[in-house]
Amino acid sequence: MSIETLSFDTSRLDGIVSPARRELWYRSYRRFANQPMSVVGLMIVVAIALLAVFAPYIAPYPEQVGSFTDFANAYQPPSLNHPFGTDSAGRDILTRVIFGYRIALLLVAVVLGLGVPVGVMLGLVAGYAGGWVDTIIMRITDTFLALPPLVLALAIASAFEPTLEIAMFAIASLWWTWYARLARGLAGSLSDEEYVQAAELAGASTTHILFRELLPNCLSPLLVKATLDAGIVVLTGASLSFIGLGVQPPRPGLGTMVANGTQYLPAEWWISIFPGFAIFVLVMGFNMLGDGLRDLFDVEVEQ
Amino acid sequence: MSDDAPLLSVQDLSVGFEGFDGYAAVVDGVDLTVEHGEVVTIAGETGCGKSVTTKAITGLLDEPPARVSGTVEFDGQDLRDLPDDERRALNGDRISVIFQNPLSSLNPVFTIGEQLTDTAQFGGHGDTGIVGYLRRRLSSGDRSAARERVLELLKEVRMPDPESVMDSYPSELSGGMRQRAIIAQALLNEPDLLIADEPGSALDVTVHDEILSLLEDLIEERDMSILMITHNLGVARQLSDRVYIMYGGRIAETAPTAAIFDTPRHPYTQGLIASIPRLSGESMAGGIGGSVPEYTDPPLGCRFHPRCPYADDSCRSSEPPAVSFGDAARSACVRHAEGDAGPVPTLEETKRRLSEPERTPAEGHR
Repeated sequence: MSIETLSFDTSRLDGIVSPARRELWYRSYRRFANQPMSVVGLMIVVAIALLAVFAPYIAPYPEQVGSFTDFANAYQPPSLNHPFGTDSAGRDILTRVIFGYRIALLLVAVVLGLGVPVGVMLGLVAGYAGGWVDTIIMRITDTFLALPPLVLALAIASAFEPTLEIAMFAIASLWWTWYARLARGLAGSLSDEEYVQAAELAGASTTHILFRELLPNCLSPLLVKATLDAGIVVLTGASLSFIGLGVQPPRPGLGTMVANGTQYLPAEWWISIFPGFAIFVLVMGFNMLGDGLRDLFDVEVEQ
Repeated sequence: MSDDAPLLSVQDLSVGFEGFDGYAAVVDGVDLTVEHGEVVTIAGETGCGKSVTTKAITGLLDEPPARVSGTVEFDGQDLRDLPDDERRALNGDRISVIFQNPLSSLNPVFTIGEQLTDTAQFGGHGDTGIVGYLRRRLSSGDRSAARERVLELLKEVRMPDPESVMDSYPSELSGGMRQRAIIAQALLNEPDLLIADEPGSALDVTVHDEILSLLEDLIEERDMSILMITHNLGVARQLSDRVYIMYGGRIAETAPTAAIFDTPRHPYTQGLIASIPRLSGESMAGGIGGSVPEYTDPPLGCRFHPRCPYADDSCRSSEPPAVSFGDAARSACVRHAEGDAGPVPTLEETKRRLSEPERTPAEGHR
């Protein structure tokens, strides 16, 4: 699809926002649309999200997702009936990939949905309060940061029964740290801005300063970071599943499917390759979108 | 409250910073008062401690690194002893501050209407916690009443097209409009005391002038005390009832505005007045040679002596006491002391001495 076909009819916004706002939106939109990579990234992410949401209606063989067996049709190479082939139990791999996206996006939603608010809140409080509050919060954060997230998630996941839920909370319990750091840095420098001081001198409450002065001014870097992070969360989840500590068979985890297919390589290559490729496409999509947003908001994010 | 007690009374205020070069006593024993309904200006060169003084008064300095001593009494309450939340409530309700830079004092991500309505709605209520906050924020009657007040005030500060300004972001407004928005914001909660740090001096001359005449009108309309910082003596003369001249972190001289321009007593005040450029085509004023002192290593005795055309040994030996001249005028110079044999500083004499070419101003830095 060419960029031109995505043109945006601003008259539809009449009466909803003021002309000045509309102009601003339109300009942001043009800047975003002028980067083909980010538009492609957005389309990938939106398409995969739609696939995940409507999986039962889109997938060709929704009944074959779980503990279904049809050994007569096992190890089928890609064909018109089974575009991605079938696995060792005769299940349609395309169907399982679509349902695998569900799990991957659920993981992203839970990890970022828990990690970002917690991290951002801690960071804002630390950055604005300073002093010993800052020291305590940030030293705890540093302690968590000292261990590689995958290793720590591994430890947590293996300490309990290895299920998707445990893996999700294991990853979420580590993911807030970078947001705490980022938000703390932003809040610290914003606290010296005159409009924050002006709000203090106008008698604004701490709640007001945190949520109305500091948070809105931190949003763009946080959004960019979260988008770029989404891909890494997918990869982390897939890695845990790959080594058997995440999604358990017969649930269709993308990482689990790759792991399961490795024993049939190279002859029945489609069993591993298609789920692997599915991971690649989703992570690519998030990264391209994140890069585009970063350029749009013109923020620097430590990678 | 009794009416004869001053609204703001600052006594022996000192502010210092511990730096890598040693301790810098940036404000040293400042006394100043602002009466009810009085407009007071602190004037002086850049780097004389004017802004630090106001920051200490408003409590914006973090301690440490700053070290503040002395008392700041507002309407009989010592602000420096007040707990944080009471102080915030007082700030929102009775004291307002206008900062110098009109862009950086506005939150870039909210429209003017949004943030001014917030000030109108929440200023002076202290910290109500998140529940109290949400309750007020979501009460539509409260919100729209506050919005009405904002619109009213934007009209009062002669904002062009106030309705559309309400929906504009700060970056979409001109400097003058931003400054007007900030003045409106400062007036929203009808403060008793307005502290203005060089209002409008970041703007170009014509807009600056408009802002000052707006302030002049507002001063006339409202019963409000103003403490204003400026490096522009013209502004001081135009707006204020009383002027404090600051040099090197100390008050050099104070007097009612008319008196200070008619009969300036301190050599520094005289030098400042002599330095005002005239458009009459006379030769350029000479200015005062040298520059403001290093605060980590200030000149002994009178801090102005290295640049003073009257300086002699007595100036270096001890800090000159403030001498009262009736009419609430004070000047801190040894030449005023009884029995001092040196020449009496006058504006004419100072002008003559400052224009003498052979004078080497930096000669006596200790």
